[in-house]
Amino acid sequence: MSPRFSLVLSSVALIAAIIVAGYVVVLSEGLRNDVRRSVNDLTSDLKSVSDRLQTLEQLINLYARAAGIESPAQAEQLIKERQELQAKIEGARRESGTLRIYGSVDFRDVKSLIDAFQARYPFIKVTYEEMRPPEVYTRVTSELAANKPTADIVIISHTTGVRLAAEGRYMPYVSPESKSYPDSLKDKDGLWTAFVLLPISLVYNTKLVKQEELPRTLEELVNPKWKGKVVMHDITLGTVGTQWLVSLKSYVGESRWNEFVNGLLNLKPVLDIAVSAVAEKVAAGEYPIGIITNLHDVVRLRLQGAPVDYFLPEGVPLLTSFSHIAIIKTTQNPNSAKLFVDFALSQEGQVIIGNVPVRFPARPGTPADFALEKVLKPGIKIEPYPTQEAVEKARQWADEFKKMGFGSK
Amino acid sequence: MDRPIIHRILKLALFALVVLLVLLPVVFLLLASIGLGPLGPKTNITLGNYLAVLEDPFFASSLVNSITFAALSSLVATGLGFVLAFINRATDAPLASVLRSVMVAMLAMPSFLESIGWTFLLSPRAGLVNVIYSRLVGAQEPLFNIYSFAGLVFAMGLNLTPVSFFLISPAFSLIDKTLIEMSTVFGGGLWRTIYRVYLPIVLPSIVSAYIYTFIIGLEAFDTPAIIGIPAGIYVLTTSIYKKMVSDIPPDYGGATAYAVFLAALASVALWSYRFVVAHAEKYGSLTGRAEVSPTLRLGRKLKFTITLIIMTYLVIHPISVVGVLILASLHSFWNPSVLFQNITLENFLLFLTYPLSWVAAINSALVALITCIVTVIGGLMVSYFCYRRPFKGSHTFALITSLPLAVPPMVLAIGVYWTALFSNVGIYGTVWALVYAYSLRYLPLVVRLVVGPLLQIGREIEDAARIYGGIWRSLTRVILPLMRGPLIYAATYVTVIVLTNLSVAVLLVTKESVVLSTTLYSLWNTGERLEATAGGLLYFSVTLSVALIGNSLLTKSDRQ
Repeated sequence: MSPRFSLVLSSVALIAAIIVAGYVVVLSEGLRNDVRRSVNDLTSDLKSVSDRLQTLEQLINLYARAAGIESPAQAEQLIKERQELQAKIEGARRESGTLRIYGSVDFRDVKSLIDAFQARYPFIKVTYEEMRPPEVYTRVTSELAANKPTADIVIISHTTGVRLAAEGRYMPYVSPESKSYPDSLKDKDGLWTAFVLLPISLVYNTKLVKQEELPRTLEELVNPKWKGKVVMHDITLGTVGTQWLVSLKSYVGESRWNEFVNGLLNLKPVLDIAVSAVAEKVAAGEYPIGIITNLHDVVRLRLQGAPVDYFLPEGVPLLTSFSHIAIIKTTQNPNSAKLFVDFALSQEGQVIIGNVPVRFPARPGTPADFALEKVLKPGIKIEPYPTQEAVEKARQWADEFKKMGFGSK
Repeated sequence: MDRPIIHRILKLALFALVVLLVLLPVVFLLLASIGLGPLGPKTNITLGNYLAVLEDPFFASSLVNSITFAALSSLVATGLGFVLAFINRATDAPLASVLRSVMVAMLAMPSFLESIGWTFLLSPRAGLVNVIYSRLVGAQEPLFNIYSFAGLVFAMGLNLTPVSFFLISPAFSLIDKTLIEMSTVFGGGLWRTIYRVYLPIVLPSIVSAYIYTFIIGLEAFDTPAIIGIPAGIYVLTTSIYKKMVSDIPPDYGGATAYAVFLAALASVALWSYRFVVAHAEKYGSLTGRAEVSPTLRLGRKLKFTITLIIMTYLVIHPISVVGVLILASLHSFWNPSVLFQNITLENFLLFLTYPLSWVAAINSALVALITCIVTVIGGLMVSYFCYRRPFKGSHTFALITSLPLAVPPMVLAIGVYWTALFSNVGIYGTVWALVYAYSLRYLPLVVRLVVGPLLQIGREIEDAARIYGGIWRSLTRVILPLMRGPLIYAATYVTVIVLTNLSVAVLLVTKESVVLSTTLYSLWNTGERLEATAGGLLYFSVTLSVALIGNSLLTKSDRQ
């Protein structure tokens, strides 16, 4: 091979290489552009996807927030509850279609709730029999003892109903609504849940007692100037009055409490067997001051224009008990009963009962006319009663108060 | 008289059934009192409840209170009842004829309503009378404090007056006109005629009225609860009530032990009552001739005095009580120093719009009607066979049927409740349980109302009828026509009292509740006095119409 040939060949090869290289370069340039273009396209696509994902996420959050769901577990819970609700409704349709309630809460006050329930579940007819708490107890226990049909549900003052619970008359049922209630307002095994609150206060006649005369402390309350001017619920009965007074001990301390009770004895308060009568008699002007009465009676009388208001001496909290709702364990209509309990404890049910003048709904934060936090003056402390001691020793204390001379002339 | 043996067996079976019906509730209660009740923890037989009663220092004081209270109230009632009955039946004073309708009206008034009326009038600081008095005179002390022993006796005495009026008043129609004429002819003045003619003849009725009102006084609950408790005066019934509401489970054993002592007391009264009526026959003067009670013609002075007495009574009792109740029911709250500033019909509306079904109204009427029929027929039979034609064992039988009278209604209700529940004959939860309870309670009452006049029918008339046509004829031809008056009294009284009685109904009515009476009861219990007052007034208008219908029937039958 001549060197010339090799030169030519190499030149040609070079040129070819250059051409090829140029071509490749040109080609790759196009390719790169293509790639760049498609990458660009992809990015924008991705961006829109991510945008949509984000919107979706926001939407889900929004929906969840609106529905009050904070976690997947909760969503599952909700679905489960919805299925359970559906199951309850279907179960209830197969039951007798009637629901019997024995209650110590006025029928008039729960009627609107029952009406709303029947409108929601028209296939269930509710009968409500109103009795005093001891009669609810007697009816339920006697009918069970005689194997006769009894109530499906009771709505009863807690202090009496707790006996029924202890005797095993209740069916445990944790309503999905009960999670909105604090532990102090529900049984840990789901035997009962609070339905309406029953706070106890003191009451004075605003015409007979001027604002500045109003006793600000327990010591001022037992000032001898009030002698013969005080009406009080009968603390020798072992019921509301006794339990309130005994519970008060743990909030004001033993020594202060002893002084107060002795001072009270010297006032010779007139004892009345009805808690509501205390407020009524103060409203009538029969007594300037009343101790131990239902806050709801004071609020009602005030709304009607009576010259009364409630007051609590310093250090005395608003001691609050409640009426609870529970299912009797022998019920033949468990699904209908559960539906009713759910409804009564739901926000909707509690708003209905809380709009009745004057009933305090038990569910915290219920947006009703007579929600306790709306009615109360600021700075008042709410505490549960009766305390353990007040429940267990109510009888002994009642006798003790009797022996001290309360109620005798 | 050779009776077929089957008659005897039938009679015996009937008596046995009645005895069983009466004794079952009583037995349930007695068992409960020794610890064997169907409720609560099963314990051994115990006398603990009775020992506890005897050790209870408050038992003695409430026992003494009960006796004094009942004795004094029935004294007031019988005294006033006699005076008013005398004025109504035996004088021609103006207004005298009104008295009877007034008494009918006051009989139809539920006693809790009347007691509330008194507190509205005479409560020391918030009673209308006392407020007006202190404004006029400027006095600090009230004119009259109803929350005192005297106040309690006053209220109960007036409350029982219509009862004694109606127990005494029929006896006047049994006075022979010739006796009065003779007394006048022989120069007896009014007092002498009353003392020598009226009193001896009416005396058995007076005594029986006294004892009967004494028993009602012993067992009264409403008045001692509304007036006595705020006054710090406890009687046996209010102590029993305290026992039944203050413990969960309710202390039925302890309450029954108390009730047994009360029943013993009432039984003593019943015994003396029987003693009185057993000796009453000799006073009978009805010979089948005089049918209209003769009237004394009064001089002008006496007429004036008597009219004054009537007016005083009318103003103090019916007018002021009914007036203040109406006034109070129109207020949204009661405070006599701010009258007419909160006028409202709310109390009436609330009561009327209470979920009230026709079933309930019909039930009420049904129970009252059936009870009325059962007790009137039963009461007439019991009085006839036990007092008029006693048979062997009739004393015991009479005593047994009168047992429920000695048991306070709220305790009896528990006994009947358990009987209906555990006897399993299908009356539980029906109106029949109520009929049962009320019949038990009011049969002895009908006997009281009927037996006095029955014994005053001359026995020879009846004997004559018996000889001619046997016992049936003597019943239909002599006893029934002569007894028409007292029987209509009894029927009206029972109907009214069943309609107004509240405490028996609560436990016994289930499902289709008698809403009217239970509503009133619960309003009363929750202390909503003004609404209970409004409801009570509406109730009063119903019972009043029943009473007035009965009364017009009665006057018709008197005229015949």
